[in-house]
Parts: sequence; structure tokens; C-alpha cells
Amino acid sequence: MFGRVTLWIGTKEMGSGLLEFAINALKIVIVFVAIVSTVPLLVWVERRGSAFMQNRLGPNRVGPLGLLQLLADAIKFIFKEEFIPDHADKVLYFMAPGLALLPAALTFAAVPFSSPVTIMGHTINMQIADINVGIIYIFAVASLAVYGVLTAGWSSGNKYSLIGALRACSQMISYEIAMGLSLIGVLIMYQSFSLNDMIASQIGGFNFNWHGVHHAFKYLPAWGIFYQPLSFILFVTCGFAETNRMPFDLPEGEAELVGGYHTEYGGFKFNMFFMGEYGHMITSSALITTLFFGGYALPLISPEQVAAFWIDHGAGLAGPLHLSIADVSSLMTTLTHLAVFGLKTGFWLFFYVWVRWTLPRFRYDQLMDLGWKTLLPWSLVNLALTATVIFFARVS
Amino acid sequence: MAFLTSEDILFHFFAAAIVVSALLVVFVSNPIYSALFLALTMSILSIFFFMLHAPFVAVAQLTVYAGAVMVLFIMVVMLFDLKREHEEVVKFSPVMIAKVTSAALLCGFLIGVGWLGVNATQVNAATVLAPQVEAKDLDKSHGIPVMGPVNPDEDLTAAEEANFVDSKDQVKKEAALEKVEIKLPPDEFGSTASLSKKLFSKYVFAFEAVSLLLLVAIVGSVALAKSKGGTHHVSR
Amino acid sequence: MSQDSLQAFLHVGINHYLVLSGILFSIGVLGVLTRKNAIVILMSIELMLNAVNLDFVAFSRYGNNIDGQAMVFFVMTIAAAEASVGLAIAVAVFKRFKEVNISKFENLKG
Repeated sequence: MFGRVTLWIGTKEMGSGLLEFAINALKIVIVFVAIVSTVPLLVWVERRGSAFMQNRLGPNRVGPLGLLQLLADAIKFIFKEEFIPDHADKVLYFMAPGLALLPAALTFAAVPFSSPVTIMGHTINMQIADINVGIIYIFAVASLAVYGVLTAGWSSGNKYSLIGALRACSQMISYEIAMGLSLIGVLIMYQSFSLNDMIASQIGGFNFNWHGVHHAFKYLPAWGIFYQPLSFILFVTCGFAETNRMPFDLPEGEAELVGGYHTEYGGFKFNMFFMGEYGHMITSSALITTLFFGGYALPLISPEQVAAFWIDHGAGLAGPLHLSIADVSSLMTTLTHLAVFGLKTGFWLFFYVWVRWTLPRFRYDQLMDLGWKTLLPWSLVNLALTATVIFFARVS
Repeated sequence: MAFLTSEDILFHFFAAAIVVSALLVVFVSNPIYSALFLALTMSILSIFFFMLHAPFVAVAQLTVYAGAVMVLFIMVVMLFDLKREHEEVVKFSPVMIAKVTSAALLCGFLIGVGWLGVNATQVNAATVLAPQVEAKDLDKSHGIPVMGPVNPDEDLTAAEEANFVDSKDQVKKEAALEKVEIKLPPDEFGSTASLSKKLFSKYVFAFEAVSLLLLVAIVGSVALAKSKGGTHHVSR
Repeated sequence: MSQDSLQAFLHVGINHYLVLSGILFSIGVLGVLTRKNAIVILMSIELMLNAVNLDFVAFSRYGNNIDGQAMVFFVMTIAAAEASVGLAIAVAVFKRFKEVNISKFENLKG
């Protein structure tokens, strides 16, 4: 009966044809594995970096420079005894680490990590999903991170965990508001929610129109931070609060709340919480580079110029790889941009670590006051300022 | 042409998932599980909105409903520390049978209306002749946006003006119904720009009124839920 | 069942979305009628509002008219406001009576 019903894999969004479906599936797997394996590297950076800042050595016994320390830790976590506290709600206790990891993995889907590559007639986007509401999709999924925290705190059956979870939850939802508002000025400027459009707007030199006259200053890149510096400061601060990192990590603070919402978790489940937290950090750093620092593009050099450079200099690779010159140039352009993206995101990840080991922790009421009484009004000021400047620039 | 697109498969799969999830909202006894299943229901609903070419509404659903309203529900349930409900959900008393029957009748009625009452060609014929007004007014000159003038007094857009057919044009309408097929909406349909053009011109009063409503709701909630004596005094 | 009618039955059109929305709505009605916990009743009301949202967006897509999505925007906002006020009332009731089971609040019953 079903013999004649043929499956046509494809809507416009998923990509017509089995090949595009397979490419998309491969992209999802590769990006997920990349995020999960960046996390141990980040933890290494954190431990060695914090040691350097505190004038001590970090892990330096396992492997060269202590790089295999994280592998050893991961193996230890896998073999640790899995226990469940007596009064815990068993189903939720098992689900909570997965719920914490899921949004962290989903948010990275809309981030473009390199320019599109064209090989043998197929153009592959270096982005899992080119959603035209990219940035608000990222905020929407990041707001789901609260569920992991809440279910972890509730299911542990421990009043300190519950208090920690409720505090973390109210912190996260308060700072979501300030984060969204701080970006409206940026969005007015870019006129698009799509991250690809934002990167395209940041190519070239700093320029703007004032009363119909076009001014340009070609030695400064057209990065978002030069157009919206206040928004940048607010967004970075809210990013720290959203990812529960120092100085906003009271919900996890040891002195105040034992371990906060992950007190009762050990072994592999604890590891999953940390993967979730570092995953959010990676997405947050990727967002900062995309919104304010030009994303994967080089400063002042457009992707077309990079492609032209590789057409001139990439001839040597075309032979061994049996590809045409254009394909090799496209591939090398993508790799260049990937390296640039990696460097920029890496710097911001290091910045996260740097701030953590520099600033002391906020008290909970100071934290909430900062979110509601300082960041929120300043976001509105930024919005009003941006709108006013744009209005007067247009009046001729 | 006998084919089943992947969108159909996704629809049926998620439709089954959302119905199961909604049933579990109503039938589990622990209110926290109910709230979590409702959050799952809302997230799956946002997937449907993505499939229906409404990306802004989909992310708004995730942000507002799944990310804020349900979190509020869960926090309230956790603060109450409600134990499981001790009464059984289905008790087979006559009142319960009457309730379930009436809900089932409503379900049957809605399914009947939904399946048989709406003909796809009638829905699509209304606007198939008029082009969808697209959001092409935003001029992306670098840095400073330039937007075309929007007439706030204009009640109907050009597309709807073309659609407004009175009974005298019935013949033209019947003719239009003959050769109608469901087509994919243009790319700009459902984008934030086209939605906000409508919101800020035709529905701007409702938009402002809703913001006032939200202010009233905020003040009201705080006033209702606040403890006596505020947060810095010990309550009796 | 012939091949074409099966394909017509399974290929998604507006009718499928309307049926799904109707089912979700009636599940919400069942929740409001059956459950005794005030919070769960509020949750069922949210489920009904979501079903209506699905209806609006389906009509918007198949009728090629963006007004449906504008309506959804307003319904979402109002539902969020109503949920917050309803929960504030529930919190106030709980603080006074230590109970949210509606069968305990039948003082007006004749």
C-alpha cells in the first residue's frame, strides 16, 4: 500500500535532496562535537589561566603543560559512583543535567562561524540554521536554560539547592530583559535580526550618512563596537550574568550556598552541568564577536578580497586536491575566516576567565539592583540615544 | 503526484507529541510535572509556528511563553511546595462523566468544523489574486536606516483593497476559485519587518493599549503578592 | 483507500492545523473542568490560549494574510499578563488559606 508513496525529502528550509539533508545532519554532528570538545580546552584555560593570575602553577603533571588533565578528569567522572539522594525526585533528578545541556547546544545553531564555501557547485553555509530571526532565536533558546537550573534545584530534595535554584532563576530572567534591551540599539543600526546580515554590515571601513553626506574613516573597521559602545558594555555585563559566571555566580558560590543547585550532583551529571555552562559561555563569546567585532570577517578586508588573495596564491593546492582554483580559493577563504572567528571568540572566552579571577562576587541584592536599577535604565538610555541620533542624521 | 514531503512527516510526528504532552499536562497528579509538560507543549507549538512561516511569532512564543510564563508557574508551584493532589483525577461520578462527555463533544465539534468546514481553496482564494505587500521599504544604506513613509490613516493595505469584493463581484470571485492552489508564501511573509509594518500602522492603538495593560498587570501583581510590611520587615 | 485519497489525507493543509488546534483546545477545556488545583486550572487556560494561537497562525499562513500573526502577538501578551495576575491572586489565596484546592472554597455553594 505504501509502495507508491515516495518520500520527497525536502522543504525549502531543510534543503532539497538527500545530499543537502546529509550535509545538514553532518554539520549538526560536527558542531555539537566541536562544542563538547572545546569545553575541556576551556577548563584547561581556566585552570592554567587562573593559576597564572594567582601566581601559582596549575595542572602541570598530566601530559605536556597539563593538557591531558581534563581527559583524566573526564575518565574519573565516568567511573565515579552515581548516587541519588534519598528525598530526590528521581525522574527530574536524571533529566535536569540534560535540560541544562540542551539549550546550550541549541543556541549555537544560529551563529555563523565562517563564510559559505562553494565546492563542486554546492554552496554550504557555515552555519547550522540561517534563520532570519537569528538573534532573537538565540535569546529565546537561551531563556530556556532556566529549566535545567530549576529542575536541578527542586529535584535534589535539599533546601539549599532550592534556594540556590530560585536565586539563579530570578537572576537569569532579570538579566534577560537588560540583555535584550541593550541590543535594540544595535538592531536598529543593523536593521536585521539575521546574524549573516550583521556580519555583512560590518565589512569595510567606518562610515555613516549625516544629512545625506556620506562620511568615511577608512582606517577604523566598521565594527559594531565603534557604533554602539554603550550597548557593548551592557551586553557583556549581562552576558556574564546570564551564564552565571563570576562576578554573578552567587547561585553557585561555595561559601554561601554549599554548591547551589548542583550540590547533590556528582560524577557525569555534574560534568553535564559544566558543559552546559561552558556551552553558554561559548555562545555568548561568539555573539559578542558577531555583533560587535565583525564576526568571522577580517577587519577592513572584505571576504571578496580574501577570496581574490587565495585565487592568486592557492594554485599550488589545486593539483593535489583535484579541485578547481575557484573551489580551492573558496575553501581557503572559509578556513581563514574560521581561524579569525576562532581567535576572536577565543579572546572573549579568555576574557570571561580573566574577569572571573579578578573581580569579587556580588551579593545577591547588589546583583538584582544592578540588573534592574542600573543596566535596564542604561539600556533604555542607549535606545533613546541611538534613535535620536538616527532621526537627526536623517533630517535634511 | 503521490508524494509526502518531509514537512508532512514532521507535522504528524510533532502533532502526536504535542497531543500526548497536552494530555499529560491534564492527567498527571504532580503539579510540577504538569508545568514541565506544558512548557514542552509550548516549545513544540513554537516548532509548528516555524513550519507555518511565522518565525517571529515562533521565537516570541519561546521567549514569552516557554521562557517566562511557564518559569513563573514553576516558581509559584515550587514556592507553594504543593504535595501531590490526593484526590483522584478521574472519579467516575456522574458529574465527572458529564464533564468528560461535554469536553469530548466539544472536541468532536471542533474536529468536524476543522476538517470539513473550511475548504482550503476558499481560504486561499481571498488573497491569491492580490500580491502580498512585501517589506521592501527599508533601505539598507550603511549605518543609518531610511524608511519609506507609512500612512497611518490607511485602513487597508493595497492587497486588502484588491480583496474587498462586494456581492456584485460574486461572479468574479467564483471564477477565481476555480484555479486556486495552495502556494508557498513569499520569503518576506512572516518576517519581523512585514509584521511590524502592520502592527505599527493598522494596529498601533491596540499596541499602545496592550503596553498600558501590561503596566497595569505588573503593578497589580506586585500589589497582590507582596507580603504585609514589605520585604525588609519581619512579618507577623 | 486509494493512493490519492491517502495522500490527500496525509498531506498537510489548513484542515490538519485546525483539527490539531481543536484537539488541544478541548484538552484544555477538560483540564479546566476536571482538575481541582487552581494552578493546574490556570495552566489549562494557557493551553487553550495556545491552541487559539495555532489557529490564528494557520489561517494567516494559508490565507496569505499577516493579520493573523498580529493577533497572535496580542493574544500572547494578554495571556502573559493574565497569567501573572492569576498567579498573584493564587499566591495571595495560598498565603491566607494555605490551600489552593478549589473544592475547599465552596462557601458560596447553595
